[in-house]
This record gives sequence, structure tokens and C-alpha cells, in this order.
Amino acid sequence: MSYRWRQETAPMTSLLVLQRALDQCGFQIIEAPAIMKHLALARKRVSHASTTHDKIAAYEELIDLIRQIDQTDSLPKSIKLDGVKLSLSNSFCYVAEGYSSNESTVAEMAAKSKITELNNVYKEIAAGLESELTQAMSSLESQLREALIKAVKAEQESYKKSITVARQEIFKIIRENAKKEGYSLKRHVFTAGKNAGREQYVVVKRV
Amino acid sequence: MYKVTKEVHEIWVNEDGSFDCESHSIKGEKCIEELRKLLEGLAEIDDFEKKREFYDTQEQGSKAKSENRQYRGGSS
Repeated sequence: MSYRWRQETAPMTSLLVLQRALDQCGFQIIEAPAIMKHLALARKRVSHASTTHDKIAAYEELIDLIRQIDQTDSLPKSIKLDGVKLSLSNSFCYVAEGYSSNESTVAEMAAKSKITELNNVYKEIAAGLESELTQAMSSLESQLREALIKAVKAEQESYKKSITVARQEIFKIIRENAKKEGYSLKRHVFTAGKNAGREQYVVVKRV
Repeated sequence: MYKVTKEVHEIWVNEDGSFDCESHSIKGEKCIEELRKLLEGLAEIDDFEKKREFYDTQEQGSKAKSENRQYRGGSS
């Protein structure tokens, strides 16, 4: 006998960052959109390239893939991993689902712990994109540096775009929900101060 | 005479897309129900902290603000 367990992931907006996080956490992708597999291969080519020429070519391939992702601009509805299925829920979160035996919760605990690790790694990668650019700028070989900077910038821009798209969607959904429930809505976007980067919605109903 | 009051929810969207919410002038479970409706399709409220006013069941006559914060998505 077995039962199904579920765990929600942290908010995730970028396919690029998600793919990197899955890879870094050692998840084996069983079924996912082809672009995720292409991305993983392109990143491997970058790290395995032995000559400057090969590395530059690998970065160019990676940049092309990033641009393709930017055009399609959507997270996969589901990703099947080894023992866990991620299904997109609530626009920007995945629900991880798996099956466990009634006799032991060891597998469930291990899988949930890996999902927690995935959440943390996703956040770390997103937060580290800025420092990756600084590192890229200090690369020694000028041609390689140029290619590396282009790749890191493409990744950064793609991530920022995913956040912008997510925020537009959040605004749209909150506005529709507020209207449906008879609330008025005010939106404040903070670009400076202690709340820089955050958005505040104040919804008010007179009763 | 009817007293007009305002039900107010503050929804904060953090940089990573997680939400922090705070409700004012709404007592008891109603604030969570209302927030669930406002966040439908976006988030499930998975953790919340009840303030003292949450337990205030009086419909009127209290000047104290109700401030029930909801957290989700691993935000703190």
C-alpha cells in the first residue's frame, strides 16, 4: 500500500534558474520540455569545452537558447523527476508530488528535504546573478570574457523579465479578484528605501 | 444610524514573488477567508500569525485594529 504526498515549492518565475537549480540539486529529469534538456546540455558544453574557441561557441549556443526561452516565456506545466512530479500551481509555484509506502516515510522525508534544497538553491542562484557578472568581468582572456559577459547578462535579463511578467500577472489577478469581491485597489511600486523591489497592494472595502 | 467601517488588506509582493499580507479591522476567521479570495489563483495561505484582535468577536465598538499577518512561500 502507498499514499500520495504533496509539498508546494517556493515561488519560481524563471525556467532558466529552475533548470540550473534542478541540475545543481542533482535531480534527474525524466520528462520535461525539450528546451530544458537543451539548456542542460548547453551548460555542460560550456563547462566541458577545453579551448577558447569551443567555449565561445558553447556560450553562443547557450545565449541562443536563453533568447528562445525569453520568446516563449512560460514555465512548464509539469516536470517529471526521479520519484517526484512537479506541477505548476497558482501561476508561480510548483506542487511536488510523490508516492510513499505506508510502512516507511523515509523516501517522503528525503524527497521533501530535496524540495526544500531546491527552493534554497533557486533563491541562491537568482540572488547570485549579479555577482556572476562581476566575476565574468574579471575573466582574463578578452574574447572569452566578452562571450561570458554576454551569457551572464542574457541570463540576468531573462530572470528580470520573468519577474516583470510575474508581477504583471499578479497585478492582473489581484485586480480581478478585488473587483469580484467588491474591493477598491491601490498599487504602490517601491523603487527606493527599505521596501525597494517590493510592491504593495492596499485593498479596501466599505462595510 | 449605520457606522461605515473599512476592511483593509495590505498585500506585499516580495522580490522573489512571495507574499506577506496584513489585514486591518477584520475580526476572526473572516480575514483569512477574504485573503484567500483575494489571492485565489496566486497563493495558498500556508502559515499565519493570529494577533490578539483575531479573537475579538465583537462586531462594533472596538477601536483596536485587527492585524493578522499571513506568510507564504517561505518568506519570513
